[in-house]
Amino acid sequence: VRGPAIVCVAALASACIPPREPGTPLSGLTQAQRTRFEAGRVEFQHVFVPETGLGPLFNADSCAECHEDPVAGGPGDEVEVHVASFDPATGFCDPLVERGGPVIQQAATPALQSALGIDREPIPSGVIGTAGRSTPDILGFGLLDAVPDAAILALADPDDRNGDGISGRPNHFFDGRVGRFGRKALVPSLREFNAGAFVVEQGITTPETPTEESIGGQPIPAGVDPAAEPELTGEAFALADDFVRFLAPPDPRPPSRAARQGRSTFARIGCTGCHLPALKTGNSPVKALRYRTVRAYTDLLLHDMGPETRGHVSGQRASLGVPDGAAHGGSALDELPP
Amino acid sequence: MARASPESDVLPGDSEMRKRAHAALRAAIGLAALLSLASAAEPEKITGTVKSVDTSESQVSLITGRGHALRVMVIHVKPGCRIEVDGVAGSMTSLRRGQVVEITYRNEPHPYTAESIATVPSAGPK
Repeated sequence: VRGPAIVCVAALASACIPPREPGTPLSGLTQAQRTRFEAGRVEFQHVFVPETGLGPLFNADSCAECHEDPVAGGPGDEVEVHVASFDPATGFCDPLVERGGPVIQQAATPALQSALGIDREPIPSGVIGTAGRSTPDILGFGLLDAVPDAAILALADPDDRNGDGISGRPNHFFDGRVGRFGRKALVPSLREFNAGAFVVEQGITTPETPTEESIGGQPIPAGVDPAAEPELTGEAFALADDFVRFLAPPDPRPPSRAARQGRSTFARIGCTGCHLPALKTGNSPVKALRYRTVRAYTDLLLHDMGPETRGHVSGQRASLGVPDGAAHGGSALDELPP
Repeated sequence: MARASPESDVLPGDSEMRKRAHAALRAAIGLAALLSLASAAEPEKITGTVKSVDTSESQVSLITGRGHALRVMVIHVKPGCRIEVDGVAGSMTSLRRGQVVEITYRNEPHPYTAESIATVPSAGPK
């Protein structure tokens, strides 16, 4: 009799635990990790000004300006602009780096405005594709980062050999590594994504990204960017990175009867073929990230959803596709010239 | 008062200490020279995607970077640079836009002077 009673008490107790609110850290962090999480939140919310390194081109003056709703690390309503040029003959998607791509910043510091008379980075002329990129939440991204490449590759079936009508394929970064973060799953690791975001989104250089973005491919005019490089110390960057890494995914609300039925239908009609209900993390130096289940409803692969939603793809996965799940953000604003 | 000769300032054991200091200095200079030679001899490696190949200028442009902070490196291809495409010896004309390559380079005689270029096999299916 005691066994079932314990199970009942445990079930009741777990039912009484309120769902974790967005913005809280992963459970199982050490005290030192929780301290870094809180210090990292301060870095994440720090507002930069030109004197501390902002710009000269930027999309936001802090990480939390975009990842803001309802907490730091949540989604935002900002839509940034990416450009690329696709060559059908070779299948190469050029991110137009030498012309200011792939991210076209939407704001400029007063000094740059005075020097060049622009209030944002100009979109390169010519036959290019532009795409809107909405701000995703980044809750639970540390767990996604800890999913082994092998797990992603094991799910890939680019030629639909199993005949289920699904042909997910991994993207690869420019150096050939498997990608997973960012729209179209370009970036291989969370740390690289964060380092890139500081300089691309805010114009803040770090020891990992020590050079500024160009102005449409041209160098920054003299005197426009007064702060010395790197504009953020390695430790401050590492704290911000830890904040993002240790953010817990939000707990699902206790499902209603309708939600339970919906979950069954979701699986029955094949949605879970791409939107995998769970992935498993691998080994990690952080115990809270090690061998955990991630309920992110993604396979971290690209899926060709047809011409209306294709848009351009950065990286090695030149044939066009859209990744499923929450790890990528994005919108249906991709456009390619005919 | 007569000024003491330099020899008279030498305390017992000073001569031995000086010899040791000189030996240590020589060793440090030698080590620095060796390290300098080693760093000059050690080529660097970079992996990226070929953006363009300019045979007339003997240059390859490579896309690299971190996250979405992408950068283009222009690599000078010196005569005699070993080029391999899918494990087969080739030339600059064998390189194609979009290929992932690993380039071994030195910063002499020009910055980013390639010694070898080899395509990198894809990690898993594409």
